[in-house]
Amino acid sequence: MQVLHALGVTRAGVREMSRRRRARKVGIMEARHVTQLRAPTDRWARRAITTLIAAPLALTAVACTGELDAGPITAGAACATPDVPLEPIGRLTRVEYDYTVRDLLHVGTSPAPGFAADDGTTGFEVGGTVSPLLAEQYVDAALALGERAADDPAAVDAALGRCPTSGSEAEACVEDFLERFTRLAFRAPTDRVEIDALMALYREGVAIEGHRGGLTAAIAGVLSSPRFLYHRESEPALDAGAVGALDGTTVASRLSYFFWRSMPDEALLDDAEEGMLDEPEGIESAARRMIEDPRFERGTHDFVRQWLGLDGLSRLTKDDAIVPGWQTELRASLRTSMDAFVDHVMTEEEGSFEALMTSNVVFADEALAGALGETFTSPDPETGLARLTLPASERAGLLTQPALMALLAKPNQSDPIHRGVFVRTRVLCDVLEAPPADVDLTPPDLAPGLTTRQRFDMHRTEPRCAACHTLIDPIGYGFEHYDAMGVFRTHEGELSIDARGEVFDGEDANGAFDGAVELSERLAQSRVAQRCMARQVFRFAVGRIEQNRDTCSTRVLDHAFSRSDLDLRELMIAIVRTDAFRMRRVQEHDPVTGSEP
Amino acid sequence: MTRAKIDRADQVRAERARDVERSLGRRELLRRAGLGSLAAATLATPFVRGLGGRGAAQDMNAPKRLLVFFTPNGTIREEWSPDGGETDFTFRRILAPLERHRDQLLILDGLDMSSTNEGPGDGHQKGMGHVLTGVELLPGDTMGGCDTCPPVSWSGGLSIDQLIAQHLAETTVRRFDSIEAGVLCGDAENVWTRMCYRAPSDPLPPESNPGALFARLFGDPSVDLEATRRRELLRLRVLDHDRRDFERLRVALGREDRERLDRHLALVRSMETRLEASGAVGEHCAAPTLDGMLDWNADANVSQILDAQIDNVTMAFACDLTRVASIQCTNSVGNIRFDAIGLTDRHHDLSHEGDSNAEAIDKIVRINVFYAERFAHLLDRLSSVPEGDEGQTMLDHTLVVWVNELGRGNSHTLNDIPFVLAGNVPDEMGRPTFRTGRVLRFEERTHNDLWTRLAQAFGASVERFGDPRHSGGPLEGLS
Repeated sequence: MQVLHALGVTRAGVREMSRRRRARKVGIMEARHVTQLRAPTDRWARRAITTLIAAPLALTAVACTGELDAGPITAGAACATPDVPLEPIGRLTRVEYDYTVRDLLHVGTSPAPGFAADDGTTGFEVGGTVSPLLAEQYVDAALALGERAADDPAAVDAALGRCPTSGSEAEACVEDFLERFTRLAFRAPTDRVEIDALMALYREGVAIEGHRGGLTAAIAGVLSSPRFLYHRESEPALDAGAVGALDGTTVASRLSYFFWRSMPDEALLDDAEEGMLDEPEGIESAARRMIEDPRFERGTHDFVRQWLGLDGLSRLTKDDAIVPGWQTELRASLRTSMDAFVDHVMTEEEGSFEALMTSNVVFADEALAGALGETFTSPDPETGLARLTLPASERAGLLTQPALMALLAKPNQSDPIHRGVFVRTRVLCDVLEAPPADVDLTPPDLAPGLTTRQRFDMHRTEPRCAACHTLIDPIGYGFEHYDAMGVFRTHEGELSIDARGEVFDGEDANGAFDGAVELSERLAQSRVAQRCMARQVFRFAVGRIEQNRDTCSTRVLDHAFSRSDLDLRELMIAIVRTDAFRMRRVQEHDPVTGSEP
Repeated sequence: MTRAKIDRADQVRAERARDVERSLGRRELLRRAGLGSLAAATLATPFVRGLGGRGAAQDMNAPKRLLVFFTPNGTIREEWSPDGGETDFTFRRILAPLERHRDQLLILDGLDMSSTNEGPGDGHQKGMGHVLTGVELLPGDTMGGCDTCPPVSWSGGLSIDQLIAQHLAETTVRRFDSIEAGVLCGDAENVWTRMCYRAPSDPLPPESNPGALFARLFGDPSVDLEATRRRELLRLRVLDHDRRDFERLRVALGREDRERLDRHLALVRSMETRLEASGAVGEHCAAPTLDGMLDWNADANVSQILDAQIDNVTMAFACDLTRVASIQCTNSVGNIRFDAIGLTDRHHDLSHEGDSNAEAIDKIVRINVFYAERFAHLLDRLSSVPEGDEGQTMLDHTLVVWVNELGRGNSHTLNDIPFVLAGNVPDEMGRPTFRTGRVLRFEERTHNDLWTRLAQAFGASVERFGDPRHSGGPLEGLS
């Protein structure tokens, strides 16, 4: 209540804000349907239409929606019919592209960072529209990779390295290679027509530049093929509009891009062809094997990178005057530190969500330990990282990791606003409106005699700011013990830190707290935060925001997560059994030919 | 332009390619591509990839080109708007660097982006998404990907540069319909960083690496001539294979999958065509000099990066690789640190300072003066290339449009956008379309009407552009 009064708002005011914000959330979920209508002129009229459309869908979904505390799944009948929205095929993202060519060619180049950026509008990277620029970049990269592979064929494939370089024996040898290679590259058995087309391309390349030209052309042809660039999605043999299971080969691909961010290996493709991925049980056992594979780290690291927005670390700067000894090398140190923390949670802590939110372990290389003012002792010989166990009164989990605190800070001061926004959007899956268009967003200058908290407090003097900042600032202030570099502090200059805060409109996360440790402990137990965790993993794994048709999938997920005592690994495994992961809605099929349009 | 029209343009292009293929045969085409490279090599340029074709039929009319120049975060109108009358104006601080080009300028003061009254988005999102399209943003398919995104996705329109690019491509296929060059545009694809749209929700990414754009236009300088020639031959074969592969695959696909693939297929077909279709290589065509060591991610290099992109675009025009280009300096909310002019401040941070902060206002003016100096340099470069009749230059046939996503940074107003037109477009008789050397002041007129007028100047039959509620007809008084 104390914070509430400080912000000059009433409980009734907060309730009204909650109501409005909930209405907005529905609007967002159904925006997909709105885009297909003639756009109404007035944004409030749009809301009204949105709500109208949402209503019948919400009614049909209500049978298996349930509230957060509804316990085990009771609406089995409603969920018995599989349901997923219609989703067209997507292309590989930049990260997926690079891991795939690395596993496929073993020639150690990563062209994708130079590609046009992936669509980031959903919060996770997805393969969006192909621009003319990207289409060219695909062909350029395919040719450059083809040349690299042709120059070192043995690295790509031992037998290819031993192929004769001319004559019919060379052709037979290359053809054998292409059969092996395309199965991996296309993540599916390749038919005769494809192999013949690639052999024709090989021969054309030979005419231009001998065996090297042939290999370059054939490999470039594979790497610029839509079968390589797009995710394979089988269609169930059902009528248009019906929902059915994906074939095992497609499931293998979905599994491997989720867990490994790369193509399936031969063993997984073998499983698929033997029918072992046709049923949920088989898919689950494959998933259990895959999370034991070293490649699983790619999946977890990439999930965490996107979820937390860690790309921002590569542009991090700090003022030398405020953070003595700041050097750009610390960007990489912070990233490594965060990845190591996640690895620790996933392995030693056995995927515990509670450990993710409350563990007081921090990993640091020598530079980072120095920057944190900690002693660097007995580093792991393999990683070069020391494991620092910091006072439990100072550190609790992800939110207090130095990497995240330094990321969510200004060059010269902490950043309670962005820390608060982070918790609301990334940890509670809240949607916040942007600030009014005409407000001054410049952080207040450092002022001796005032704490950061006092300087930011003008948010409460401006009523239209207070509406959102009531939700944001009292959470952000809870992190005031962490300075611009994420170092724990008890004082800001001469002044004591006041890290008391409160969560509003956060359902079971609501209430006052003192400091981020208390907040994190609360969030670890919060069903809202747990459900949000499951949503984030869902969005990453499935490549879209959950929609009404995904209600049963997400409900299964929430249930599995809670039944596993909040084991993140079990959460990831539960996803592969959901409709959203292994089902597809059949599209209309028009009679078409190859050469149109 | 409608989706159907875009599809038709792609179709025309593909048909034209097939016609060429039939009449010459692929072997001849291949030979020509190879010979073309060698022929181009005898020019001053050692890098030939972009100059690989033999040159399609030369357009008999004087060329019409469009170049969009974007800078972010609004301006300071008191120092932007010239004093005096229509022709006897004097520049204030921000546009003063343009004095030497004053006879070729049209300063458009007071135009509003009224279309931003419609639809979702914050000031910067709307400004960026509307500035070239004049239609509202689409509501988000999903929630925002950034900390405080309201639910928007992309602009719901075709941008004016792309309308003109697609119109020009209906008569002559060049190596590129358009080129999007960027300067420190960041690495995020979202509504804040994209202004050019081929179609609703189909944004075009700018290439922010001058070296990569150079290689795209003029060939990879790290690959020797003979290897480049072989790679181009291989590229043609690979594209041919890809096209057939797409065509085989599409038959089995459902409607939505196929639509997605077909858009990519159209690009593959168009790349294949374009390898034959580079324009006639002009006598002033030469690859620019590029500083290969330039760190194109460093804010401090903004001036060098911008000049490198200006060189790239100028020579892309001189070599007739394209007729439409844009240079996007950072993005909306662009927040680079301006060490380049001795400041330690960041642009967007500064732009939020209140009017009472005289020091901040002065710094914002200095940043805009910096951009005006680079804009003047761009005009210098274009007017350094002789073209057409005696005394004429490429600038006489290139309309350069300087745009901004806001009117003023601290108020985020989407009115009084600082538009500057420079250069000209020849009409059908080869005479200049626009009467330049003037300052025009508008009340209650929209930027949609400016774009309608531009589309007409390029010969597109367009009566209104963008949102019909904010498009009254072509802006008068420019000719």
